[in-house]
Amino acid sequence: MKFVAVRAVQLVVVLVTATFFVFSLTFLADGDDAVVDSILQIEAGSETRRAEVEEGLNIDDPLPVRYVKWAGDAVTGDFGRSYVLGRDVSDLLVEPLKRTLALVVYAQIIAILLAVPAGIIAAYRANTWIDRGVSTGAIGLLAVPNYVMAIFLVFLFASTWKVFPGIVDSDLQIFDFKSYFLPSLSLALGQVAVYMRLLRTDMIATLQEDFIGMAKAKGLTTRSILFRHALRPSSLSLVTSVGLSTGALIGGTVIIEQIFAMPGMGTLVVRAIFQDDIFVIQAVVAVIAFAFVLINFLVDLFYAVLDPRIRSV
Amino acid sequence: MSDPTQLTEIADSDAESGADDNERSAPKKWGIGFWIAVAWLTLVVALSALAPYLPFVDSPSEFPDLAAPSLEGPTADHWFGVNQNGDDLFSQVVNGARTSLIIGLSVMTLGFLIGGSLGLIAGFFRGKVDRVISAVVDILLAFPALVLALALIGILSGGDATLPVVILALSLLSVAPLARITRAATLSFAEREFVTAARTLGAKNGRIILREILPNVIPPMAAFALTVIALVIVAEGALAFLGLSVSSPAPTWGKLISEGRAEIEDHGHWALFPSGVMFLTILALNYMGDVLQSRGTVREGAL
Repeated sequence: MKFVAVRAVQLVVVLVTATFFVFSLTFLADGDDAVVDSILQIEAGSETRRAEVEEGLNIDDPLPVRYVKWAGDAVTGDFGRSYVLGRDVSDLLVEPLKRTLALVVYAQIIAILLAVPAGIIAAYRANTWIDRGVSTGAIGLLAVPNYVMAIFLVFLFASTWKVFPGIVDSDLQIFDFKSYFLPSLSLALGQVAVYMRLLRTDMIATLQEDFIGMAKAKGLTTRSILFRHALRPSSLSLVTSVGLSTGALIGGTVIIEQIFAMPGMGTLVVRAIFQDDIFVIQAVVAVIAFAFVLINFLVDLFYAVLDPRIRSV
Repeated sequence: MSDPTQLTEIADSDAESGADDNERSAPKKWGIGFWIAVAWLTLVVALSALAPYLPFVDSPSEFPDLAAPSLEGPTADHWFGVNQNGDDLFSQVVNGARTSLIIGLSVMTLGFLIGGSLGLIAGFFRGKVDRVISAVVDILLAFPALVLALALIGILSGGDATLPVVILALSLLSVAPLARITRAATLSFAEREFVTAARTLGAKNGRIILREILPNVIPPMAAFALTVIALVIVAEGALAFLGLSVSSPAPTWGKLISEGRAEIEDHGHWALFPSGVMFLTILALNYMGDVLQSRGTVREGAL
């Protein structure tokens, strides 16, 4: 279990570094006074409220102390109050967080569902025209930025064929698969290429192992050999990549949400950036960092389940 | 393809190959695809470098030209058509290439300088220094870099970004991968005979790093740099889409695509041409990077 403990410590370090970085920046960029001024200005409060606001920000403490106090509150789910919207930041976070997580999960599911068969067939028929076709397609997909993909898919499915909505409802529910289809697919297609190429490489190596020859000699069907015997030992890089790419996908959701007018974390943070809503910026970065760290931890555990040798490291 | 994990994978695979450049096997053919990619990139670079001197490229203007036709498809005068303000789209795409390439190259250079130095130091001295640098690099590689870049730009300039701020923020994307790949390459050369020989002759560490190791780690870094440029061009486009990229009359590809999106149903050319040019450029960069990297691996395999 040493492996788990080491990873846990590493991930906590990631979390603290990222949040501290953004927390400090929000104050250092404009200076403390400017931050207080902008809060007072928006709240239309007079100078009499200045002391109160400064108190709330712990403005007399040095930055590290301020960070520790903020982090202490954040752990209990208290991210302060958005002075732009006049609501608690934690209330603003709940629904967008659900929507964004759902978007990432759907995108990963679509990507895996498309990449696994494509990778397997490319490996099974390695260096034939099928393999070359699939691999060329993957290189092409990798060169399409997700926002270009989104525009193209909206044009096709929403404007031309009118089968899926190009703009989602403002109170999008996470099981509204029809609305989620285009955003998830836009995010997924780039990942398909990454996953497919990884799986293909590992699968080609696995297919040359003795136990595959053994399985063939036993007279098992090709399908059973590929999916039941070869897939599991070939999927380690794939699983790692799925975990690691979660970070990139979360980055990608920011822009996809913008295109589909989806009220998620990305929309929230972009609005906060334009309105200088610093508590929201801090909170979104903290939550994204936390979600990201958690997912990585789970992937590591899953990795250990897939390959028993790792458990003892 | 704004995907740092992909970079990690490439960095990992390259770490294993450790690209050996001294023993060159017989020259291999580069393949037609490679030369097409080179030709396309040369064209893009040449056009954007020469843009102010070319008669068929209008300089970017802040004010709409009311006399010009608006929203017209491709014609003999306007190869890519015209946008709403009567600007020639071909000129806009060329001028956009200027901005995109300046950002891509600057971010790549910063990545080379900062990431490269960190990687050389970590790989050469190892021990504690290496552990600290590697930990920082792992953190940077692991975190959603685009979100950090977004927050950085937002906090530093609140929706009115200047070129240096955008470059600085996007270099979050390039420093870590380049540090990792340089470290891996340095590790594979630090123990080689010619380094031992230099040390025996009394060369100091600084000289060994600059004169013996640096020339050997530059080729794998260069192959990788192409992928980094592609990544940065895509990321800049994403920022432009959110209205957080460079705010100036000079267009970027991302800005053109996001402007054209509004008219995609009736005047598709507006989004289509910038998207197409961007796609081909990224494809060319990725493909060249792939070819250069795989040649590194093949050479290792042939030893």
